[in-house]
Parts: sequence; structure tokens; C-alpha cells
Amino acid sequence: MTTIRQAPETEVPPLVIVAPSRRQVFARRGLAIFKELCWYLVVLTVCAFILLPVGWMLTAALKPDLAPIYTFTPQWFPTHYWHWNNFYRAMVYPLFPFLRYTINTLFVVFANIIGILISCSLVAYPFARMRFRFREPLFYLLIITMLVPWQALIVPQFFFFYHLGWYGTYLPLIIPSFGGNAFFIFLIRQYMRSIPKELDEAARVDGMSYFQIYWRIILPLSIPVLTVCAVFTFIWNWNNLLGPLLYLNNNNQFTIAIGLANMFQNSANAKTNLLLAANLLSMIPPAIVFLAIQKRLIGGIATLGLKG
Amino acid sequence: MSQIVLEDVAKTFPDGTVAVNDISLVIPDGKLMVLVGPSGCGKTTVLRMIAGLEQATGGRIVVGDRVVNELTPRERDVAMVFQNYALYPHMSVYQNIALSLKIRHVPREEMNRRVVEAARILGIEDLLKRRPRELSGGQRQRVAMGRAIVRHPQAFLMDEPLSNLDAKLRVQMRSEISRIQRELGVTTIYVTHDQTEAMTLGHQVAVIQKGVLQQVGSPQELYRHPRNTFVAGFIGSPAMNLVEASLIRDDRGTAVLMGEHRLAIPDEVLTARPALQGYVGRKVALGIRPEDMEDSELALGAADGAGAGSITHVTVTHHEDMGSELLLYFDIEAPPVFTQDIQGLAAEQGEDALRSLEEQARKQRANVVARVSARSRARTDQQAALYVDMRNAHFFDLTTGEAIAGDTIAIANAAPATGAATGASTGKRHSD
Repeated sequence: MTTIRQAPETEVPPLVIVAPSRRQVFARRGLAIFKELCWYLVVLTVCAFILLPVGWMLTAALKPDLAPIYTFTPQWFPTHYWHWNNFYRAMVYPLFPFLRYTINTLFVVFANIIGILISCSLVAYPFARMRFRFREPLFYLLIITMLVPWQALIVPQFFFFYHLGWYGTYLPLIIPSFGGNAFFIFLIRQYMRSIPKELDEAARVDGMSYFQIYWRIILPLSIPVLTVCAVFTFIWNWNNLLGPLLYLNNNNQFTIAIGLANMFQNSANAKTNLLLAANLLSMIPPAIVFLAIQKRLIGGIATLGLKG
Repeated sequence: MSQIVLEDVAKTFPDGTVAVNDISLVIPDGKLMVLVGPSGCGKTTVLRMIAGLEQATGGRIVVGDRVVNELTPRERDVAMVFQNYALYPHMSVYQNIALSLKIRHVPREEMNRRVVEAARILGIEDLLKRRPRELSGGQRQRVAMGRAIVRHPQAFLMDEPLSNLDAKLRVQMRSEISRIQRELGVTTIYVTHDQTEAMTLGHQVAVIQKGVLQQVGSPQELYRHPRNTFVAGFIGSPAMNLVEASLIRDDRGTAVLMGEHRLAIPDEVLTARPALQGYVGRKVALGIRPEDMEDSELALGAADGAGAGSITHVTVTHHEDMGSELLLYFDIEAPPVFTQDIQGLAAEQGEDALRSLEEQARKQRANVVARVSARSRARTDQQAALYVDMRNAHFFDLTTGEAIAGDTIAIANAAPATGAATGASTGKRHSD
């Protein structure tokens, strides 16, 4: 019979688990709750800064025509007036053809988005994925154009478009977007550079032309950054006042931003509660856009390392 | 399907780096040629030049009967499998495989039939609707293959397609690739840095180092008749032992001396390598494969001295029991071959290997490994009598690193009508 020799037992120190006392447990839990409370307090304060003016607008918008708007102290939350009807009235107010303005604005905004997405992605693609002579100097030249303030271009641009006969049309507001935007080109190029280059090479071996690679491979993979560009374009153009103010001269062509400005300037005739209701209404489309693609937008911004 | 011919193909990058230096190769129709070499040796560049992803700066590339140097990748009609598969992440497996056909406006039914056929060959019929990110490494690899197969191209180009897989899957996919290539009979160029992969897969293997073609031949030719110390050290695992030895002739015949070890050279070896006579009295690089040594008790013909080998006594410093065989490590009183090629090979294995080689060179003691039968009783710190089969010994010039030949190394893969001299680029130097 064989005997199995066991290894001599060595002394293993007993494993001691020291349970924390009740007091320690409470202290720890209390600290965690305190930290969380502080965090919420900070968040709520920031929210209040953003939301209180909106609350004031809503309060005023719900007031009847003759109720005082500019009270002291300001009323942040709806008082005993709940005239929801004011929103409808703002929409059909004769001095302010809200629906017309909305349609005009949406037209300008979407035309700009299409222009920006086509032009910027087309320019960014070769900068990001193709090798050609003077690629880097050209790109830096493009970046330098970001340093020229838009205001410096207003006068020459106005004359330029005026002499083209575009004054009083939407063309000066739309066509420039088809010429690209240095900031968006930069963003899209950075994103496209992160796509593995083997995909292009595989596509080239598969028989695709450069344009097919752009259209079928690179563009679908760049949707996150294109979303970011689209949202930024939407908001910039929705809120753009100066551009339409310079080039549009017909009430039927006005965008919401001019409409609201006009209404405010004529507030002697207009009713402030309706003006504020219209303002609130004009905030809804950007808010919807934001909410609808919030996840994708945050994803895109996170990938780009871009703070909104 | 067609033959691929490279004639003095060269690539110099704009910064002056010479990646590929006048490589000439012929890949016969329907054969699988493996380009193997350490990383950065230019093998992938060769492949990319054939695919059209890099422009050759010299020479001609012929696919079928067309010189393709100036053609776009699209016009070359070759398919490539990339190391990281390069599947289009936003498309399903079906779309990935079908895309190249769609681009070429292949009718829908024909496209469908070909995709399903490719999927059947690769065993991925049930994955067609999935996205690449939902697939395992092996499945992605198959999809990448499918994308190449579906086009019925003139040639497959594979760039280290198995390097991202784990060891077990790699072995499995290796035989799979071999099977598919055999079934389809498509001319294939396969790039790898793994010499085992090269030896098991290739009909022909081309060894490349620093952009220069070292040798082309069947795996057996490379193994049995390496043209220089680089190929000798690169092909085979464990690697060939390369030791500096003196070639002497005395009353007992011609032999090599390494310290106190004397290994007699059989007459048949001297007859096969007449040039060896010129090295008598000089030092040579002696190459002995680990598998050409055996425990003398177990070696056939060793006991009665009838064999063509010599018996030498060594002290085992370390042994590794592999189950089916035993690896015995021992030192001998002779310096290892310390040419740049060999240092490069050691560096490829890691810093430790290079440091160990430097140490051996400094101490003038080469560490040698023998692969003997598992029945051998030799163990660490014990004396062992080893039988060395000198018929398979290799001799190289110490300064040039070239094989001392005058022997009958078959110039395999000899150039056909095009005149591209495969293997002859190095062969020329041996012919005298």
C-alpha cells in the first residue's frame, strides 16, 4: 500500500474580519447622504438660474391683457392667472404671423443644415482620409479663416450679395452654408480621422471610388459628428437675428427671430403677455430637437471631446 | 485566377526609407505563396503594392497577363483580407459580403446566390443578418474571407489574417484557409511573421528580411537547404543552433571542432558541398537543427558507430519535457554565430533573447538545444551522450552568412517565360 505523505501543516494566522461598529456605519452613511445633498444643491442652483427666467415668462404669458407684467418683486411662478388661450392668440395675432415665421425659419434652418452637412463633410473627407500635396497648409489656411470675425465680413458681404441681386431673398442666408464652415469642417475631419484607415483600403480593393467610399462608408460612420453639426446649425440659425435682419425686407419672408424683435419694438401696440407667449412658443422647436437626439448628441460630443 | 509575377519590385518611401528592395517572385496560378519575415521587413508593403494601396517605386507587377503598376485597386481585380478584418461596422454581414458586387452592378439574384454560396463555404449562413460587432473574432475572420471569396477575384491577398485570433482558433482557421484555397484554386499571397504558419500553409514560402528577398522555396527546401544564416535561424522551431566552429582535416578525416567537441563530417557531405574543402583550416558557422541530435542510446545506428554522425558528450544545463519529446539545453566551448542577422532574429524574440545571445558571445560559450526522444533519461545537471547526425549539418560562411554550397540546392520556383528570377536573386551568389 502506498501512503500519501502530506505536506507538514504550517501555521496560518487566523483570518480576522473586524466588523465596523454601528456608529461607524451611520457616520459613513451620513457622509454619503450629505455629499449627495450638496451635489443636488449645486445642480438645483444651476437649474434655477436657467429656469427662473422661463418661469417668469410663463407667468407673464398666462396673465390677461391688462394685468401688470413688470411687477416688483418679480413673479417667478404662475400666479392665479391661467390664460392658456394666450398661446393660441399669439399664434393668430395679426401683427405677428407666427405660423408664417415658423415656416420661413424652418426653411432657412433646414436649407442651412443640408448645406452645412454636404459641404463640410465633403471638404473634411479629403482632409481626413486622402493624401495630396499641400494638404496640411490648406487645412491650416482653413483654420485661420475661423479667426476672422463674422462682423468684419458683414459690410463687404452685404455689398457682394446686394450686387448679385440677392437682397430681399433667402439666398444670402442659405448659399454661404453650401460653401462650408471652418469650425464644422474641423470637427468632422477630426472625427473622420478616428475611423480606421483599413476601411477605406478595404473599400478601395473592393472596387469603390473615392466618392463611393465617402458616400457608403465614411458618411454613415460619421453620423454622430454630423448630428452635432446639424444641431448646432439648427440652433444658430433658429436664433439668428442679424442675418435675416440685413437681407430680408418683406414681412412675409421674416423669420421668427425678426418677428419677435419687431413685435418687441412695437410693444407699445403689442401686448406683452402675447409677446412672451410667442417667445415661449419659439423655444419649443429647438427644445424638441434637443430632446429627440439628446442621447446621440451627447454620444457625439463625448466622442469629439467637445464641450457644448 | 492567374499567375502573379513581381519583377525587381521596389518601394522607397518619400522620407528615403527603403521598404522593399528589388524583389522578384513568381506565384504560379492557383498556388499559395507565403511571405514571411520579422516585423518591419517589408512583406506587407509588397502585398499592398500588389493590391494597389501603395505605388511601387521600381519594377513591374504583373497579375495574369496585365502589368498592373499604374492601375487602381479597383481595376486590379484582387481581393484582400486585412489583419483587423476591416469589416464595415454599419452594415450587416450580408451587406458586407455583397457590397463589392453591388458596386459592380451584379444583378440582384446573382449577387444573392454568390453571397449565400460564400457563406456556405465558410459556414456562416446563419450570421448573415448580424452586424460585425455581434460576431466573435473567428466569425469576423470568416466574414472578411467571405468578402474576398464572393468576388471571384484573380488573387487573394491576406495580410496576417490570423494574428488577432487566439492560438487554438488560429490553428483551426489555418486549416480552414488552406482548405478554402485548395477548393477555390485561387492564387493566394499570404503574409505572416509566424514561421509555423508559413511552413504549414504555403506551397511556396518567400523569406524576406529588411526588404530583401532571402530565399524562396517549398517549406521543405527552406528547412533543409537554407541559403544563409538568416533563413537558417528563422525557419524551424526551436531555431537551428548556429555555432562558430573550426573546419579541420587530420588523419581521422575532415571534422569540425568546437571546443573539445569534434564532429566528423561524412564523405557524402563533402561530396555534396565541394566548396567546403576551401574552408579547411578556417572558421565556419556550423548549423545543427535540434532535431538532428538524439540521445545516443536511442539513436539508430549510433551504438555500433555505423551511423553517419558523431557522438559527443555534454552536460545538460536545463531540460524541458514536452511530453512527446525532450528539449535538452547545454553549453559548448565555442562562440555562437553573432552576425547582424542573428542578432536581429534574437531581438525579434525579445530583449531577453538578445541579451542572452550577447552574453553567450561575450563568454564565448554557445547555448545549444537538442530535441531528443521523450524516452531519453537525460535530465538537468546530468551528463548526456548525444548523437549528432552530421549528414544534415549546415555550413555557412562566417563573414557573408551565405551557405557554403556548391551543392544541389534546387532553384525552385524558377522563372517562366517572364524571366523573373525567383530565388535567383540570392541564388546567383551561390552558383559559383
